[in-house]
Amino acid sequence: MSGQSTSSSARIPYRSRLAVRFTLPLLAILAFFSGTMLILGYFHVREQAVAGTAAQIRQLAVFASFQEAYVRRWTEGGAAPVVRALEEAGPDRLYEYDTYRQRLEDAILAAMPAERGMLGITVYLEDTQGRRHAVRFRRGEEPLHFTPGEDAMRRAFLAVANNDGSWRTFVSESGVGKELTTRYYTPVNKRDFQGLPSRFGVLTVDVSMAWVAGRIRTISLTPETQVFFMDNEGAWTLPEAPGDGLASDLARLHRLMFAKQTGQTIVSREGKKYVVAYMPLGSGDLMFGMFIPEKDLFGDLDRTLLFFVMVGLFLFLFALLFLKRTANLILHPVHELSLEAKRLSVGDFSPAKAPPVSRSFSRPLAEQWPDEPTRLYNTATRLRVALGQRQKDLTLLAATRERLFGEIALAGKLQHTLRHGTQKVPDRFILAAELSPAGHIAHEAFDYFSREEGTGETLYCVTASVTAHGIPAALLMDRVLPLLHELLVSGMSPAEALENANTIILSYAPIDKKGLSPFVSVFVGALFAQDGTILWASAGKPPPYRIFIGSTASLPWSGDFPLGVQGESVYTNHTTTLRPGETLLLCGGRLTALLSPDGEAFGEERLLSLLTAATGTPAQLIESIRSACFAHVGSETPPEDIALVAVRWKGRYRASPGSDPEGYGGRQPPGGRQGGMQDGRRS
Amino acid sequence: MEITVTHIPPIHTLYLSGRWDAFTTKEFENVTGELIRDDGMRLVVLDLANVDYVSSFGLRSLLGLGKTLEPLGGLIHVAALRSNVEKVFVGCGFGSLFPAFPDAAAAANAFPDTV
Repeated sequence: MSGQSTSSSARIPYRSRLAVRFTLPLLAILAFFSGTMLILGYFHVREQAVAGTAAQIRQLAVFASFQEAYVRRWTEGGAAPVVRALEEAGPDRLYEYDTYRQRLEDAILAAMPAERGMLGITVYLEDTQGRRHAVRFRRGEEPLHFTPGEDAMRRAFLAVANNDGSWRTFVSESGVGKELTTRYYTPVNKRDFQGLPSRFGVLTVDVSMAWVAGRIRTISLTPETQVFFMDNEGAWTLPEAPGDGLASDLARLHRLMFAKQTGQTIVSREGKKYVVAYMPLGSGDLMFGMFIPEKDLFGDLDRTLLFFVMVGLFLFLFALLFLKRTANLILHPVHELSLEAKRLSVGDFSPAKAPPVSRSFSRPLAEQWPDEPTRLYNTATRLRVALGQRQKDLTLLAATRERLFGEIALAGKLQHTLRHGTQKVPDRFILAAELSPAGHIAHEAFDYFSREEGTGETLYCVTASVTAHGIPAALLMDRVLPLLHELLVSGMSPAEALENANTIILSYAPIDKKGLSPFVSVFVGALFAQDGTILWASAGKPPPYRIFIGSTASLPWSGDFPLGVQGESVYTNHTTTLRPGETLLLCGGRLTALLSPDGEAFGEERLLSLLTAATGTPAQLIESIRSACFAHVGSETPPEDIALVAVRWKGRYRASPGSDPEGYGGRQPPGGRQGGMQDGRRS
Repeated sequence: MEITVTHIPPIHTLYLSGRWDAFTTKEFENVTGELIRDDGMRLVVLDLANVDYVSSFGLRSLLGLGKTLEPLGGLIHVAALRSNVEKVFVGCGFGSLFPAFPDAAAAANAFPDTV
C-alpha cells in the first residue's frame, strides 16, 4: 500500500456518499410517493370538478326555475285568447291567412312575454288525426324537427286527451343545437251544430330556452356529462337507451329524485356508472339532473392520463431494471474487489477466476474497451502480482537481514577476538586497552603484540580508525590491523609498515565516484622494553599523550597523510623515550570531539586535566577516561567509537652506573634501529 | 554546519561554521557540487574561522572537492584556521595539498592571475 492515507476530516465527494444500495429503495419510495400523489390528486380534482359542476348546475336550475314559472304564468294567461280563437274558428279556418290567421297571429304576439327575445316560441295545433298545423314558428327559422321528443309528445297528447283541459308542461332537450324546450299543451275543443263541445286537437306552445342550454354546455365537464329533466310521471328528456325500461336503477332514481328532491346517487346506464346530481325545478313536479360519468370523467383526458400512467409505469419498471443492472455492474466489481482483498490479506496470491467477456461487444472491442469487471480483474491481477513480488522481496529482505545480522554479530565477535586476544605483554610494561564501540562493529580499533628480538622484547601498539561507515569500511578496518601486524612482525619499522600498508590498501579499498578510498588513520609504535625507547610513525592519527607524575604532554603531529590518500605517501619514523613509570596513552581524535547533550565538546583541555590528575594504573586511567566520557555524553553508548590504549614502562631491567636516570641515554633502540628504523624522515 | 557563499568572480568564498565531521560532510559535498555544476565554481576560498572541529571525514570531503576541481583547472585555498583545526590540517599532511592563509582576503589574493 502507498503511504497515502485518508483522514477522517477529508471531504468525500457527494456522489460517493450516495451508495447504490440506498439509491434503489430511495427511487422506489419516490416513485411510490409520486404515483400516490398523482392518483390522489386526480381524485381530488375529480371531486372538486363534480362538486363545482353540481353547484353551478344548482344555480342554473334556480334561474331556470324562475324562468319556467314566468313562462308558465304567461302561457296559462296569455295563450287563453289563442285557444278561444281556435275554438271559435275551428281547424278549417286556420289557413285563411288574410283574415282569421292574421288575427290569431296578432293574438299570439300580443301574448308574448317581454323577454321573448331570449326565448324561442313555437305554437302549433295537432288535431285528432295526428296532423300538425303550424300556427307560428320562430321568426326566420325553419320548423323544428321533433325527433327526440316524439314518443314523449305522443304520451303527452294521450295524457291530456282525457283531462279537464288544464295546461300541462313537459321539457325536452331537442333540436340540432340541443335547445332546452319547455312544452305547454292544452286541449282545444270545438262546438258542433248543437253547441256541444268536442275534442278538436291539442294546442302546443314550445318555449325554447337556448341560453339555458348554452349555459349548461359551458359548465358541462365533458361531452360525457348529460343534463336531463324528468317529470313526476317518469318521462324524461334523455333519449331512450337499451334497457332503460328494465333498469331498476332508473326506477330507483325516479323514486329517489321525487322523494328527496335534492341529492346525489350512483346510477348504471348503458353499462356505465354515473354520479347523478339532481334538484327540483319550479313547483317540484319537474326535476333537473345531470349524469356525470363515474369513470372517464374527463373522457379523452382520462384515457390520455391512463396512457401516460401506463407509459410512466413501464418506464419506471424499465428504469428499475436498468438501475438493477447498473447496480450490478457497480456492485459486482466492488464485491469481487472485497473478495480479492480478503484473499490478498491472507496471502493468497493465486490468480482469480477471469471475469466473463462482455456480451455487448465483440472480443476485440471488449479487449480495447474493457468493462468494469474486466478492468477490476486487470487491476487486481496487477495488484496481486505486485503484492506477490513484494512478499517475495520482503521474504528475501528478511532472510538477508537475518543473514546480515548474523554476519555482523560474527564480524563483531571476530573483531573482539582480534582486539582482545591474549597477547603477551613484556614484563617491563603494564598495558590496558579498551574499546567502547558505538555499534556492533567498530570503525576504530587497536592492536598490540610483542616480539622477542636479539636485544630484548619489543611491544608493538597500533591504533587505527577509518573515515567511513558501514560494513565495507569495518571490513577494511579489520584488514588493516592484521596487515600491519604481519608487516611489523616481518621486521619492518613503523614507517615502512605504513608505506607498504598504504600501497596495499589502495589496491583493494573501495573507491567512490570521486576516486577516493576511505582514509585510515593509524598510529604505530614500537616500545622497547629494555630502555623504554619508542620508535613510532603516524598516518594522520592524533599523537599519543605522555603522562608522568602530574604532567601531561603530547607527542608532535607527524604531518604524514592518512593511509588511502595517495599512493606514493612517505611516512617518517620518530623516536622518543619513556621515563620509568611514564604512561603513554593512545587515543583517537574522536574522544575530544564527543558532544554532550547540550552540544558541548569534551575537549582536549578536559582530557589533559583528567590525565594530569590521574595517579592509578593504566587500567584505572582508562576507566576514569571512559567514565568521564560517558558522563559527558550522558550515555554508556557513545556516539563515536572510543579506543584507548595505555602503556606504562616500569623501567630498566637493571640500573647501571652512569646511565641516564630518565632512561633516554641516547641509545639506539634494539633490533629495528638498524636498517630502515632510522629516526627522521625517510627519503 | 552552516555554509555561506559569496561570489566575487571568479572566486567563490565559502564561510563554514560549526563542526566539519561525518555528519556534515554530505551537506558540504552537496553545496559544493551544486556550485560547481550550476555556478561554475572553480576558485574556492574556504574560510574556516568559525569551524571548531575538523575530523578525518571533513578532510576527506575537502580532498574530494580538490579532486573534482583539479581536472577543471580549479584551486582551493584554506583560510583562517583555528589552532586546533590547524593542528589536524597540518598534522595530517593536508597543508601540502591546500595552501593555508591567515584570512580569506589573503587567500583570494593568492590565486595566480593566469587562472
